[in-house]
Amino acid sequence: MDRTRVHPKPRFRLAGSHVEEAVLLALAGFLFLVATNTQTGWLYVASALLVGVLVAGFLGPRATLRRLEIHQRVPAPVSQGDMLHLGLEVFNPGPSDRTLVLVEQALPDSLPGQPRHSRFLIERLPAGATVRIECPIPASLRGYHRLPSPRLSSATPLGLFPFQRSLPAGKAPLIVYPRPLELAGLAPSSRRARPANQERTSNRVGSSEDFLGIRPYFAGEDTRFIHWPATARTGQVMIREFRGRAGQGMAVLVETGQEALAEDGPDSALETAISAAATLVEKARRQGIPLTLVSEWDGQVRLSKASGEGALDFLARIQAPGRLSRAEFLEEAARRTPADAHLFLLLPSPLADTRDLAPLLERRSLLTLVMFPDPANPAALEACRQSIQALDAAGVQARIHQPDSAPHPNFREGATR
Amino acid sequence: MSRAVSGRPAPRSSLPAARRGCLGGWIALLARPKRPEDSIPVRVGVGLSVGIAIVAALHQMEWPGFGWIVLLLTAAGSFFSWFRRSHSNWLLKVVLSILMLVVLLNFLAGLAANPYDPRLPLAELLLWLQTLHSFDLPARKDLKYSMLVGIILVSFGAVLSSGLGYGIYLASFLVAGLVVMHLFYRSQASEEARIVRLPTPESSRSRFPAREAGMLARAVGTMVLAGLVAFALMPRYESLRLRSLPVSWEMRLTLPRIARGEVLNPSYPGQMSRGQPNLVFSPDNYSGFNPIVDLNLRGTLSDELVMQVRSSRWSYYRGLAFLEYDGRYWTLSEEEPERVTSRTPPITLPLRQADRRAERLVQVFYIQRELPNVLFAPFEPYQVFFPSEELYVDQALGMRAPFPLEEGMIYSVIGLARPLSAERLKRLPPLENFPRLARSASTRLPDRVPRRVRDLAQSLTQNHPSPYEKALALTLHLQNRYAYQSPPPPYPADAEVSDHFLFEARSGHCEQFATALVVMARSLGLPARYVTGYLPGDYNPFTGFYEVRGSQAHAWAEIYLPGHGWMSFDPTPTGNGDPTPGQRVHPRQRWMLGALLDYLRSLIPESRRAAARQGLAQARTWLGDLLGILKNAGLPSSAALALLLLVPLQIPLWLGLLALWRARRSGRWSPWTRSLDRVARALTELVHEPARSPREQILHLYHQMERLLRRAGWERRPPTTAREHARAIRTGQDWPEVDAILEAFEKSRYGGIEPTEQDCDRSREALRLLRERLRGTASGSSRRPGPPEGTSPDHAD
Repeated sequence: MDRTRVHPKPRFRLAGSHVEEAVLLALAGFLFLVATNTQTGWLYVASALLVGVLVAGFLGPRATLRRLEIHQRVPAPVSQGDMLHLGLEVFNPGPSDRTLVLVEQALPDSLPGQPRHSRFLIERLPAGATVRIECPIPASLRGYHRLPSPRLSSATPLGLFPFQRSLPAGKAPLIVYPRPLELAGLAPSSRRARPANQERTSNRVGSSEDFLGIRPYFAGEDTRFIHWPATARTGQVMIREFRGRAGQGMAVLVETGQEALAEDGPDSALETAISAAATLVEKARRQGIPLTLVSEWDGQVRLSKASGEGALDFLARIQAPGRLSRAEFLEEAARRTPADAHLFLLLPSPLADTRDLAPLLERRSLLTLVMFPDPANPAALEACRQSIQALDAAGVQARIHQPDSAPHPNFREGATR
Repeated sequence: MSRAVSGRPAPRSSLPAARRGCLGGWIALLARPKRPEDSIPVRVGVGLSVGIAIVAALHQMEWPGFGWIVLLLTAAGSFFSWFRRSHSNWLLKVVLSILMLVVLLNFLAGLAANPYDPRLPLAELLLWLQTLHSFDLPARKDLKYSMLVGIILVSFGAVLSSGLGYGIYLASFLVAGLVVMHLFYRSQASEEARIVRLPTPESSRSRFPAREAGMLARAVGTMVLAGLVAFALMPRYESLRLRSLPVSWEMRLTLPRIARGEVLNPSYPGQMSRGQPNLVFSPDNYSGFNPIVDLNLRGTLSDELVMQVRSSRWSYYRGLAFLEYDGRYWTLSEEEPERVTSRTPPITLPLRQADRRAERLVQVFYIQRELPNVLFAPFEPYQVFFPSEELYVDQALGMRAPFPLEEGMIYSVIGLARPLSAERLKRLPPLENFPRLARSASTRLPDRVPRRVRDLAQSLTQNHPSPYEKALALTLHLQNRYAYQSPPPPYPADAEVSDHFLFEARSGHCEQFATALVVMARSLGLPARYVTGYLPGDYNPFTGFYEVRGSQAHAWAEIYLPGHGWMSFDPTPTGNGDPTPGQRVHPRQRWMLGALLDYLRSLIPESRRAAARQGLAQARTWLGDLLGILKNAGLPSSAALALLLLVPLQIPLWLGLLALWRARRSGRWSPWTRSLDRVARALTELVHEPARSPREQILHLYHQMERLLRRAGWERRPPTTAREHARAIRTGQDWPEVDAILEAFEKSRYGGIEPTEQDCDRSREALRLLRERLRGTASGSSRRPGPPEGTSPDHAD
């Protein structure tokens, strides 16, 4: 758990509406006018004391907030959908007790959810005491979220001139990993791809590599490893999985180009694609397959060879929209990924031009292309279907991820070449 | 404490389902649900504050018959509001609206019955509105409105009040109001946020009053301090723009009409005839409010408050103007005063010279004690709001009522102020252009007036052609050359007053000064008259009233300036200045701070102020004498002054040391004596030698012992060890003191044993005993103590 001390240097500012202050000031002015016009001394006194009330109301909140310190305890990263438990500690180093101090922690702007603010009222904070507050924040969206600074405010004692201490924001971000998305039939292949129009490779079946288990067959995989008994038992083609036969591993390419920004939010196409990438990361970790993640942010193609949490952290950092066009991204990605890794290209929007795939196709490695159209956008879905037809025509098979559709028992739509 | 409001049930509405049209919309508006305020402390606080405001207003209204009803109904209404806070109460609101209309009609009727003082009907209206409103206070906002009405009621009470006692109500309401504001904030903040409490043990938990009273006390202190500063810095504009001026109109029915233009002074009944030998001075009322003024009457007037005046401007209060002078007595004009009537106020006086377009000067008089039937007013009066249908006005615009002014009477006067710049006054045409003036009654002088008086006036004014400058020169001469003395010494019965004052006594009080001015002005051909009235009084910045006391009765002069009219001149040195209406207030008093300081100064009796002045003068004399002595001793002036200044600078030093000594002795410390103690300790550490360790102390004690013994004749020679030296001393007698110190010395010096504080104490005590023993030996024997005969320390052992 990271601990960030929010700098206690006070930067006061008035907050909220000031209707009551305006009424009191107007009343003081009115009483002064009446006093002048009736020569009533007590009205002068009342007017002056109302000014005194305003002064006392102005000075009180500043004195209440002065020297208070607040510390943020930033929680460890969690997966999307879990709760982040942010810790706030308010310390009173001053010599006198403080009363009715409001602590306000806003949600990061990038994190959707309601309510946007969590407010806590510290009834009494004795001198030298610390109050610990736990502020639960729903991690509703993947990402690196910049945590807004907590704000201390008070209008003690008279409820006038509510002052706020705008403290500098902590540097530690809230990290939310993407939620793993179970995609039927989408799994890394530990097999070297069989190039088209070529003989299959001659690896000997039953070598001494560690046997991991049996799993459904993905189109394009080496048929020598099909486990026929299991296939007969289950009614679907099953294949044996071995550790250490990952060859050059797998590369997951998440495209975030301008075309990706069709929609924002946790259910957007991009988020679904990143969730799918998280699934692949987890599967690669379990199977010990070397993984390369490629995506783009800040106008640069970024690459990570980390696994496990490091890879999830990479996925959490992805920001949309990217600045590169799809063709530029794919060209750079093809150049930087290992030559014979199983490529997973996750596109959050339809592939309009199949020529964009040329740099990848030239690599002659196994390519799995999944498009994640916006489910609420029928036009995008239709465009994806047209893309698949175009890919078919170009000799590439692709699939569309549709959350509403039932998961396909087999990876028949996986693209092979 | 307010309860949590989350999940609070919405107010229940008993509104019938179908409402259509305008009436339905109105009722729907009334039945609109509001979030109820559940906090009982807030409601109790608001109830108390409003109660204070109601009592304050009722007290100033002299507690009318409905006072208790209003109070009880308000309390009942507050309870009812709390009880029904979750209901829409639309039917109740309809009823309250109708009742408010009734109250408004009652106010209008009251206003019609007494159109001259709308304050009381208005206060009654506000009280009833507050009472009705107290039945419908479901939400916090309604309670805030209630507090607002409370402020208005308190302010209204302030308008009605005339004494310092009202400050208690004001202070109580403000303190209660501050508490309520805090409770409002607490209630509101609790609604908006989740409450976080420290896990404090039950025993250390304190309830609200103990926990937050300190904070609120600080807020009250800040409010008072800031309020005082704001009050002191407030500009004090001279303005009184009331159009419906107060008058105790109902008093006209109770007071008998006993005068028809003649002057009645209740303190001088039946003593009005000229030359009455046994006119007895009365301290209650000024004899200048008689038809005849005896300038040889002596006495000191009472300091009792006679009236409070609310005035738009600082001004003298003019009473009577006298024309006839015979050398000792001033007499009112023989002419019959004119009777002016009006069925309803105001009574508008016939204007002779005054310009209707001149600035209005408004004065409201609150009579505090029975006064003559003379109406005090600014010069020149224009309209009078007086509880009578008739008034009598003489040629000099002196006004008389048909009855003496009673305690509790209120009347108002609007005067016309004609301020004129000094430059314009100097350009007025010379007196020679108006030969008819010399024949008027106001220039007549008795033959008794000696020639030297006229000569003096002539000599003083010969260089001043304009009448204004002549009058001013005479006034300034009197102010600057003659001493004020009250009461003045008795003048000879046959002496002409102005002559005796100007050339013999050369001191007097306002009557002699004014008479001298009038006589000298008349001797120059300037029409002049002798005027009596009151000084403006002391302005009380808290009540806003000028407080006029009996001793502030005054006399001054009015001189006619051709082309301008009558103008007032006050030749008395202690007069407040130029009595001419329209002259602005003293610059110092244009700010409340000046008024406040003047008021505080007025609270100190004149005798004390004089004593203080005398003391300061004496101190200055002493300082001068001391400086002279020091300078004569050869010190330069600056050094002498510095030396003298050091003396007072030492006073706080000695006072501080005394306080520190007392605190150390008694063990009772205050914050500042603690600070003083810390400073003293720090200084002591600086100047004292550093504290010794026990080992160093023992060595030091041994060396002291050595020194003592050396003085006694047992010197330790260099090759002798300490033990050998001690053994030599012990020969023939026992020296336990030496043994004790020696033992400690050897242990610490050679044994490597760190001595304790007890060792030090023992050694110190031994040294003390040794010192006494050696001293006793010295005093008990005739010879100097020394080593026994035949024994030499050098050869011991």
